Amino acid sequence: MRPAFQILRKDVERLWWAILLTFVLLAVFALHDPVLPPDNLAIRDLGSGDWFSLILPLAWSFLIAIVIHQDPLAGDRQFWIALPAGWKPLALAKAAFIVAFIQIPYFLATAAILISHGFSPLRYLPHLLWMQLLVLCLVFLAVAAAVVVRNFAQFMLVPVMVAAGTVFLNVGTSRGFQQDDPWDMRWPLALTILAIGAIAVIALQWTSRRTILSRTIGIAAVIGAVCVYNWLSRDASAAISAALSPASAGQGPVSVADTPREPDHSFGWRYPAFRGTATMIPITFSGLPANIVTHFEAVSLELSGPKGERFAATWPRSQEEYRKREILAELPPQYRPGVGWLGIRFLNPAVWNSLRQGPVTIHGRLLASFYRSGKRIVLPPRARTEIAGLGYCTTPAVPDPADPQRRFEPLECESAGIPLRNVQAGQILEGPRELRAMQESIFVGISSPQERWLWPLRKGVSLPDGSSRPWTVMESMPAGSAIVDYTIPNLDLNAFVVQPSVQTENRR
Amino acid sequence: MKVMLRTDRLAKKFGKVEALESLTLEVPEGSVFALVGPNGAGKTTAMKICLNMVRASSGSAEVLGVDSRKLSPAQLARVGYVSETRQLPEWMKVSRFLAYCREFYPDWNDADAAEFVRAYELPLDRPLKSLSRGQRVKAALAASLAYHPRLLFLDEPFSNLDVLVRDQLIETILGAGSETTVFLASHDLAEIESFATHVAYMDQGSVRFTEEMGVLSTRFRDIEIVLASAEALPAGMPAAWLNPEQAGVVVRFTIPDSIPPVTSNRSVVISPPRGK
Repeated sequence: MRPAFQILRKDVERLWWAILLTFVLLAVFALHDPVLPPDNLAIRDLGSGDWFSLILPLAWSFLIAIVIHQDPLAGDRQFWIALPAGWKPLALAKAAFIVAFIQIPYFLATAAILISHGFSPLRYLPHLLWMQLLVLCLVFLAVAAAVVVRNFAQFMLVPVMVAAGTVFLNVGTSRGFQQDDPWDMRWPLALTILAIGAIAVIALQWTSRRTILSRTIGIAAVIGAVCVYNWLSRDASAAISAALSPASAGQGPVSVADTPREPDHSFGWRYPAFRGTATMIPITFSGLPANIVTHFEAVSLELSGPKGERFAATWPRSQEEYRKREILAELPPQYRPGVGWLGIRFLNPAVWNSLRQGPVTIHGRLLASFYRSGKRIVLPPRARTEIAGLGYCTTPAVPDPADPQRRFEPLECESAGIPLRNVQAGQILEGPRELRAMQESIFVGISSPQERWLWPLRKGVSLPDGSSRPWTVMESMPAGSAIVDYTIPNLDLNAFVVQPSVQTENRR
Repeated sequence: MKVMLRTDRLAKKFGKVEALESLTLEVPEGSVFALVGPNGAGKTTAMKICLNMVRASSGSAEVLGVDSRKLSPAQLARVGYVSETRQLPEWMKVSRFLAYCREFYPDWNDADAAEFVRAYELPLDRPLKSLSRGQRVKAALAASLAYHPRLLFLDEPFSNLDVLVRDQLIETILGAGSETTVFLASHDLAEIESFATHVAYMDQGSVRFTEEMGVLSTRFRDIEIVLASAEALPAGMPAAWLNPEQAGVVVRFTIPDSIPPVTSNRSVVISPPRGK
């Protein structure tokens, strides 16, 4: 313990200015709410506050690199190697430094943010610990990079090289993933690979200073993470997400069947229809858990034609690519009992002509995400109300940017941990109970959810529909997910056409 | 005879370069063992392997009877190391440096450290980076001798030092007494011949010979040739001409006594056999 304390003391003595600098940055971060400027809710501009998502991790990374390089591991001229201390006190001293000047201050800062927003840190301790884990991932990566480079200049080159490699490998293309896909496992998997690689590098380098081997492992981990992020398919991502999701109580097998029904013209296509033939196949899910809201994502879909021909629906990366696809399949994001739809748009007339000739069989795969609905809470105007398991919601009176004399009452919610997109909210109509119940069933998640990775709170705002009716929020807790494979045989697609072939493509 | 340091067929390759080739030697207790050879001979690499700073490609080294790869902190606390290439914490003031080192060595003697500081006239309030090379070596040596190591590694301690400083350091090393065995590396035979008890001559990664200094001085002689004009030495020097050096028109080397001196139309000076 004594050698470790001496090394720690030496590092603090040497790096007090850098520690102080990170403390100042952290204090400004804690005092500066990066989400939703309070003076103008209508402007969803993150402003300068969001720079801390970049600056603070960079400052911490540099602090880590500097402290590691007080006693570098790569090389054979280090003063510490011949000291009678060994690697254990050295590693202990560096770990203590990181805990004392990065992890604990960040924990205190996030706890202070929760307190200043009316949240109890003790009650939301698991969330704060989860935030610590995220920062720990960053710490592992920075330490791993620092222990295999010879100096600080080389350390600075690591992110540059990773960024260059990322661009070279064309990372960032969506591969069919949509923004905020809850089952997008690319980041968690890539981060897991990086973290495992980083731990291996740190352990190997600290115990035996095998720099070349450590560098090889580090580079392999980076390449692996980049490959996973870049080439993980929707199918695989959905399967992994379902496999890792917590088991949901009472969740039974889910099956899909087609049921004739009048087409729903309010079906919201994710990509507007510029061409092709649109069909809407009514589907009913059976075996869904009771009292559960289900969100579906179409993972894959294949159609077998009357002559045995097969066509796979694909998911476009962008609007531009959408124009090049032959078949596009979509599901409304939230399944309401009795009103499920599978939308298939045939963009290639030749494919449509082939499939319309006879019975078609659909083989599909869905990812079903379940949310358990809680109590419905009616929010009084301009009051801050606690929503169990979520956080706080309020309906402030805000000046209309277009007409400052007018005021409107948006719904503003803050949560510590629960993604706000899962929370159902809406304005309740006065009227018969059936009407209110129907309206509740079409509530959507709070719009404009804003999350920043170092900020412990999530925020979201739903704008009112113009009336001053009270807002209602329903608690909604994630309750697992499941992969659903289904087959719908002998389908006459002609019976489900909702939009005949549109040949005039919008070339705007 | 107790052996403080032993290497057995120690070898090290850096890529395709063989820095060390089958080094086998024994350093007896109480000796001042000099590893001599030109730059790049593998002396520093050998020393770093012994201190577990570099991993050997093959062979083994024992320090104080322990495999060098398994040296515990307790064993390292009895070993000193001063090297021209060792990265000292240069931001530290001399006083802080000594205080920092003190915490790692149970046998540290404050009085001795103070005595070294006084003898070396070390400025306690100045950071190491502001010291001259000679002062830095003195500070490192003071920090190594203050805990009376059983085995002291000195890697080119005298290079680029003026004669006065060198003599002062030699005096200190000899003053350490027989309780400290010294294993030092130098590229200059002349600078260690006055106090080394054993010499191993290394060239191109391998040991050419190992001798006690007393025996060595009867078997070898220094040759000094004064050339008529300053011309470069030929590439293929005879293998028996050890440690050749040139300074202008003067060429020096060492040869076994059995080899007759070369005579030519150039003037040749043959030095007498060296003695302690």
